[in-house]
Amino acid sequence: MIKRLLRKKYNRDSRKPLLSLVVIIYKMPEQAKKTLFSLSAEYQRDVDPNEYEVLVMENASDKPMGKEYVSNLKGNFRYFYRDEKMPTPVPAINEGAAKAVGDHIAIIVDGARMASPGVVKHMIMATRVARYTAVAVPGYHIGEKVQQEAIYSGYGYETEKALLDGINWPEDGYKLFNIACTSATSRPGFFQPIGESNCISVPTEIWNKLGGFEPRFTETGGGQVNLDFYKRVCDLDEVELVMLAGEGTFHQFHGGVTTGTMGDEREKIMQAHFDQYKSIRGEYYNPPTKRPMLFGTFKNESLRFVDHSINVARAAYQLNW
Amino acid sequence: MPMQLEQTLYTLSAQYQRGVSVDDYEVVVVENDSTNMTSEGYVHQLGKNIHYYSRKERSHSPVPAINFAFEQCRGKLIGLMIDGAHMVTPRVVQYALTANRAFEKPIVVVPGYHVGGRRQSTDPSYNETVEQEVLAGLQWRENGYELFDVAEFSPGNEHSYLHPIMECNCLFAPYKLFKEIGFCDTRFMLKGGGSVNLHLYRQLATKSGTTIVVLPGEGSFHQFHGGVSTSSYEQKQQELSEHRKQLHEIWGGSFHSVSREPVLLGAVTHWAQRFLELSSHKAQKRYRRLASLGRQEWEDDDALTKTDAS
Repeated sequence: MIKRLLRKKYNRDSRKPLLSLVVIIYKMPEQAKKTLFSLSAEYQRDVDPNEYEVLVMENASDKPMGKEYVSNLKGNFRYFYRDEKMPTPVPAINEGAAKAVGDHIAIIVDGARMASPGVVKHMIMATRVARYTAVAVPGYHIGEKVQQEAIYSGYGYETEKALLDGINWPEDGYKLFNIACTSATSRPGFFQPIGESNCISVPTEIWNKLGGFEPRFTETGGGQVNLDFYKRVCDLDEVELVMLAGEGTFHQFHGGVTTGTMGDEREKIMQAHFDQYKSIRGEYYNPPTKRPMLFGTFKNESLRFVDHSINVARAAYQLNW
Repeated sequence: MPMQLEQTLYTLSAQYQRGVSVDDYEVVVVENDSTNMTSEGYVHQLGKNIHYYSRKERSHSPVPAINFAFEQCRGKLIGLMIDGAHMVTPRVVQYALTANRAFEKPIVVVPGYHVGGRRQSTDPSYNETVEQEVLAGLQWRENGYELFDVAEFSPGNEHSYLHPIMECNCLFAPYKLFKEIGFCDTRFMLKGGGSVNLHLYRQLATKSGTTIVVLPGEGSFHQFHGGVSTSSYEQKQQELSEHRKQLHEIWGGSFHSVSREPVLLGAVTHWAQRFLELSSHKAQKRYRRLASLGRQEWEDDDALTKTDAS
């Protein structure tokens, strides 16, 4: 009955998913499995599996995850294994988006990011907020410190496994907040400009208008392409930015280029990312200042990041949102 | 309370409300006859979307006026403010409409505050003159969010909006839901309507399929006006006691705040952030207490789920 009413109110064909999540994975089979499970209808709460699809785009590597795991997940999963000569996820992202059938496309650029259990439900709800709604999920790292710092004090696969075992993940996905800290780009919180979202949805119309992710970002891991996309979305006047402040994506350690490298090697890589952004956009990256609407529920576990966000805003006081 | 009403109506006008135009909403003002009426001319100059009705009323209850107002409304979403002394912040209308797009059956709660904080209800020296001085220190007409600087949570919901909610003085819900509950219950004919506001909120918020949507960045701000619940006078305690008695009789002795998890919606300006922080702290304390007792966090949600399933 409720479904029929919603279909009538929003004039939609309920047989077609509203939301398409595109997840990129490369050389991270164990982390990707956890991420994909966190997007399954078994883990996501209060959501009709027919309302969303997950497109898994795996770039070829010597450590592939493969199709089998995906085929056992509850929900609309589609898996694609693809050859990729470049060290960047951009072609995979754009290819995945081209295959998507939803009215809204969400990109999880790094398949190592697990989601909290209300991401899909709230993302679907939030798409109705305005004609053109971009829905951003804040980013976190598992561990007390961001992983690019934590590795200096020995953080690695074993530390992370112990943390996840300690909260009996995936029993209650909101407990991830208890063992996490904000990602560097989400550190400013909900009331100051952030650099990116590692899980962001836009209407297909906006995706097409922007031409998807910028293919000129060819650096390792796409360099700053995700930040670039976030900024280009926010810079569109017609887009309402919604932040799911009570939800999150949680980065698992996987030896990636920006979170798993150290010292001079990391500095070199990051500088190359910054420089490529500048060469494409004419200046170094600055986060967009569009004010987000908060949307969603807050579990006990996520409330400490409300406190964190208010403290940051109070200290910064640079932008009176 | 003409001065308070005029200030309230200014905050509801399209010149003050942001992100909406006069064509997006209407304001139906119903004033019961008294010796101290609002200037109809003032109301009309606020915009073509503000419709004013004065009516004769023998009782001391606003209930007949509320039901008269329902008959005049043309919108599919109704915002009800039983006490015209509540000024609102600038995106209340915009976000109520947003919630109505996002949800099939939204119950939109604009958190309630008191101008002057606790002084309004506890300090005998607090009066209209004092309050106007407080307001004169703000640029509230230009930026209504400054009202947060001189306010505290209203006593009705002093535990914040991340706790079970007792009542709401600026409440939006679809017209069809108000119709389903028979509009405003005419048994509430005590002075000021008694506890009709609490009754109405519980009726709506416990309907199946509804979503409680709280606007954490917005607020409705009660101005001092010597009403039943906010002024100090001899019979206050006795009247409040009669209100409670009636409410409990109607609900079979089981009336309590509605324990449903709210969806938060809207931007939170820095003026409103201290109340979100306070709400967060109080909620964390409550969650810890309930966990230690082994109790559910949102019991009415569970009850509704069970009812829907059966």
